Amino acid sequence: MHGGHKYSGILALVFVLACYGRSLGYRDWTHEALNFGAGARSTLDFMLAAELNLTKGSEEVVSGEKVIGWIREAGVQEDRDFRFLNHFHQPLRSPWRGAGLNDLRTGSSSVVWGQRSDQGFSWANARTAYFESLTEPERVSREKALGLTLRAVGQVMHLMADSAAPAHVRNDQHVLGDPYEKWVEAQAEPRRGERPDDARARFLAAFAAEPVRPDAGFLVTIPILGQNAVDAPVPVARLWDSDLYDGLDASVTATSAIGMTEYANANFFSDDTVFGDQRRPGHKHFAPFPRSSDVEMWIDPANKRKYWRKRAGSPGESLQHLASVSKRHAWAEKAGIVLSPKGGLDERVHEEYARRLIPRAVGYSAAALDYFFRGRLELGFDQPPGNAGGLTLTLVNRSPEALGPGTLSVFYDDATGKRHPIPGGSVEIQGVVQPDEAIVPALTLGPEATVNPLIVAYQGKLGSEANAVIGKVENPIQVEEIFRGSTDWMLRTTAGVFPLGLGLAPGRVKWGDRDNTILAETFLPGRDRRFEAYRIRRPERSRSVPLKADPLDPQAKMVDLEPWGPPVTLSGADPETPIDLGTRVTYTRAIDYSQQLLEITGTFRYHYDPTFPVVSFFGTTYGDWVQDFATFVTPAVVRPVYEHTFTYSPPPFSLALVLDLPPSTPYHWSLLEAALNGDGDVVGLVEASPAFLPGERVPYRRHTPDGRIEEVAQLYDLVAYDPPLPDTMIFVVNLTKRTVIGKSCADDVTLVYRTAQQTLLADLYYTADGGRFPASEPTWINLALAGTPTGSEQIVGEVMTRTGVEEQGLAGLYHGEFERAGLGDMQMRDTTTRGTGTLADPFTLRSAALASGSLGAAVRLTEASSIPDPFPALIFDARRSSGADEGYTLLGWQLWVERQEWSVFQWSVAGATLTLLPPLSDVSSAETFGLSIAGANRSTAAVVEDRFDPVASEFVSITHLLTNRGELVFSGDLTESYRLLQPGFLYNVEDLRFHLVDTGLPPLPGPRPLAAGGGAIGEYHVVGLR
Amino acid sequence: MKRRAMLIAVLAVAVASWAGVGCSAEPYRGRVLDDVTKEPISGVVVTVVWLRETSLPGGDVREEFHKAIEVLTDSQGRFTVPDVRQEWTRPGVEIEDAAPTFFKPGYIQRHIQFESSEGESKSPIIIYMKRRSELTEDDKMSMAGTEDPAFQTARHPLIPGSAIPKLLRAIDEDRQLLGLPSLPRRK
Repeated sequence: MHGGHKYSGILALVFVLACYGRSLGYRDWTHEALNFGAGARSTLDFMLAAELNLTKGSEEVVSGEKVIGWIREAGVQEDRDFRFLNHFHQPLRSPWRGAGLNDLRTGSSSVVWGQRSDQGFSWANARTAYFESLTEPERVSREKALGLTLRAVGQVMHLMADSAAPAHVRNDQHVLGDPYEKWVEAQAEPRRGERPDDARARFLAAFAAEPVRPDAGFLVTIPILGQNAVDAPVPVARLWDSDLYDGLDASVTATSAIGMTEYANANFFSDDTVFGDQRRPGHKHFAPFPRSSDVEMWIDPANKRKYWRKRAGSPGESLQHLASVSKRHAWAEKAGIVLSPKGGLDERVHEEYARRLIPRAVGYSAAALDYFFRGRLELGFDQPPGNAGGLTLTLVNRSPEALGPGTLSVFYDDATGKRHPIPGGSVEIQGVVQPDEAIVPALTLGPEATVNPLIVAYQGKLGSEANAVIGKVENPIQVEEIFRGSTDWMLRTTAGVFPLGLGLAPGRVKWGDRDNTILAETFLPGRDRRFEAYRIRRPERSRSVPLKADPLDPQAKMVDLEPWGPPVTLSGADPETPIDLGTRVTYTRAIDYSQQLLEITGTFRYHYDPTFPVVSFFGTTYGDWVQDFATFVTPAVVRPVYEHTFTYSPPPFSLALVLDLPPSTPYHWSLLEAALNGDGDVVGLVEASPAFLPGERVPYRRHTPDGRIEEVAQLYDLVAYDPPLPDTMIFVVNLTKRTVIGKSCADDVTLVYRTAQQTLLADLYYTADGGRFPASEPTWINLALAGTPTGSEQIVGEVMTRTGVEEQGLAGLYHGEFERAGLGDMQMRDTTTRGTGTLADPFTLRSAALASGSLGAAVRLTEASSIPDPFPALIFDARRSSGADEGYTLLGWQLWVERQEWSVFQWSVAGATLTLLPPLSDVSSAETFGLSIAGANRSTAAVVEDRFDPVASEFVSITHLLTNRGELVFSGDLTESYRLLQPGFLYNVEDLRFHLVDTGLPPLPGPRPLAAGGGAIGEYHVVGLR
Repeated sequence: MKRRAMLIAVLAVAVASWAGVGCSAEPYRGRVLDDVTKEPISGVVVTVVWLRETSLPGGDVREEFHKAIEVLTDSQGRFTVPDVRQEWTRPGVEIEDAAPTFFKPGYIQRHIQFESSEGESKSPIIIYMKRRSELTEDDKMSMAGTEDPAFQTARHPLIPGSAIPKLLRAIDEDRQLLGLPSLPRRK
């Protein structure tokens, strides 16, 4: 078959594709991924939870589809029908209405299209739908409108993504399909057998790990004037076209304070516009930049191909693969003909383009989404005496821009979900309300206002946007803190600091799962503890602090608490009946112990040096024996002198929360954490594992001076029955009902460990060669074995080692969802490693460094390993992360000879699922000493890593923030200043603000700051969520 | 001899510079189906138009009509259109990318179904059209503000009406169905 025929079908199909819909712009998989990535990197989650009370954020289902699903799918929908013709914008054309595709096909400028109200899914359509989603009486209509809002915003985000494709900003309709966009689509689409979610994550990790967001300032500082103000008046248009680039100087485009179309136009080529500056001005494919005079040729050593790159110092982005050098140009160069640069686009070019353009596509799209939802209103409530049953509502503009004139209306939902305007809840804002200013007058609302939720809808001017909409579902999210004061535990709210009236007897006081409940924990003698649940006398979601008179001081006030059920203790009503953990353990621990003696024969000569310094604790004295020479007979002889198998195998035992465990108990347990659930029950997180039991003493066998071998009674080896693994079992126990509600292990667990332990001692048989030290007769001396040898080394013989794990059986240690998640059971035998030993420095009897006079010798094993490779994955740490489904964040650990692996899981006890979070980066090195879960909530885990910095020679902390979207890494222990609050808030205890879990942890508006006078080290929670 | 080799090289570069080389020599093929019934649609007017650019002295270029080909889909909804860009043109003339349209009275083109290929971009294989009478509210919303490229072809000032008679006739029939007057006739 002719080579060309092979591709004929593809070409034919590409032809159709190119003309109808999907070819022009990034395609389906790409747009879906870009919109998803932008949604994930925006403030959407926070906005939905904090402003609209949709606490699941982008996972909330709206009109049959998840929020993020609407955004994602919109990326695909915008290419349907003939809408693609309107996805072009030429930034150097003015006015914008003439800047669209202008070729054989024509279309509206994408900047104008995005704001046209007649096209169904524009910014204007989104605004209209958003207002309806807040004000429509019927729930179904409101949900449908919110879905339409998200879809329309998502379709506008598609226009932003297309603006990051050079063909779309250089008037290149490219009928045969744009090669760059096809290349990007090939990266985004799933590989064979790959799930779409995985493909999306892979694509975003590869190209949009660090999105480039636009500088916020230029969006509002450059007014839109003239015809443009009619066609695309909303300032969001500046994200597309700032008008800062005029075609004369491309250097202005190499910043993030520039429109997306200007950046893509001035710095990149499309297939038909390579070196478009060589066209005459006015030609449909003319573009002044990138300029032919700014490039130079180079050869990429990776593929030996010639490329055009930007010269150093030339304006605009510096690209190494701006274009490939065309064969035509190469021929001309060989023939000595000077041509203007000619070139094309190949895969290397596409890749470099994608690495520059896709981070902006995601970052700018996220910025557009954030801009849509930038309006913020803060609600404050008061209950003045004169307004029986009603409320006074104060509103503060917390938006980044002034609002007004406009209309503000307050609604409430009745029990059926029908939405009604509240009498007195509407105000015409005549003037302008600056950011952080209150809207006056405050609204006096009737009793309906006490019905949750309240909904506030603003429609009017916001900054320069004429028909903006701000929504606020009364979601009085505030943060409250409990801290230990000098005389009492204290409650700190936005209104003040109030004593709880608990005294200081409780060792710890924390919030319950309900936002009006508290758990006080008191440490009792022994290991017992008492838990007392309290309820603040206020409805859930209420932000008020009811006070009552202090019975000891009627003039003083304290928080009005009431006990919530009787106290709970670990011992319970009958201390003889401990809480049974429901697991029976069969435990066998064996240690094959051997003791070997290394015999070395040699001859020494010493002399006494009266000037030799001997340094001791008491100071320095002078005079000691100094070695002149030493000779040895090699090889050394290794003699086994004692072998025995020690076994510990107690009868099978049941795990229980026994408070006074006898020393011989083969297990131990500890209560890691206690919580108060929504039912008023105390829930405990308990870990249990085999105990570290006392071992056996084995006397050393050594030579006597005359050559016999006998025990040295006062020197002994310790054979310990320690379990070689941190085989932790996790239990979730309802301490109130004294039942187990979840556990990591099976009902029957069998643990078998057999390890080898070897002690190698070395003795020297020496002959003195003159001098007075030591004695003149040949004799044996016991050499001490040091750790790591120093100085020169000498191989004196083969030393057989026998240490490590020989048998390991874990049956039932991890069960159910834990086993399915890869934690778990294993059977392993004989991992003992044997190696050749090096006897090092056996003759360093006297030296300046070892002037103490002890005999030094050391054995260093080569190729030795006492670690099974790998250890099974085990639970290393656990922390409660969600009360809603009794969720826990777990840290798994797996040790290999060369590295260690750490994994973070989310365990839902209610759902019996274990979900793996994204991997922790760079924690497998030898510098990582340990990890711990320092904080967790339903959506994020904070894992703090302790690491040794070999350069600075100090220990440092690194914080890994893990969400289901990926990982963020920060130096230092972030949890010193931040707390992860439910359900998904990151709260800074110093600036008292929420922060976005994203690069740089940008602060978010709200919540209302706590009153002064608290301590940063306290227990925080969010109040007001439904 | 050396001068002769140089001359050949110069000519090669010149020819390569001016002639439109490297275009696909294969025809374009596809199939049109009903979006609802998935049955083939015959009689769809497939119109492919090419413009060309001619370089003029002084660096200017002139854009003009080059060629149009109209075919009808067969009983299986299939069509084949040759790619005229394989044809030799004189130096200085560049045939631009083709601009195809699909049109049938009473129908609206909706979307393309693609065939996935490992590691490659998607390729379209089927064009779906829908009877106008069967459009949903969501369809109409999505189509709001858009224009069928067939009308752009019919109105384009560089494309003579005599080159696209089938398309113009089909558009007239469609307008009759909608109760609209015919398009003004062009030469």
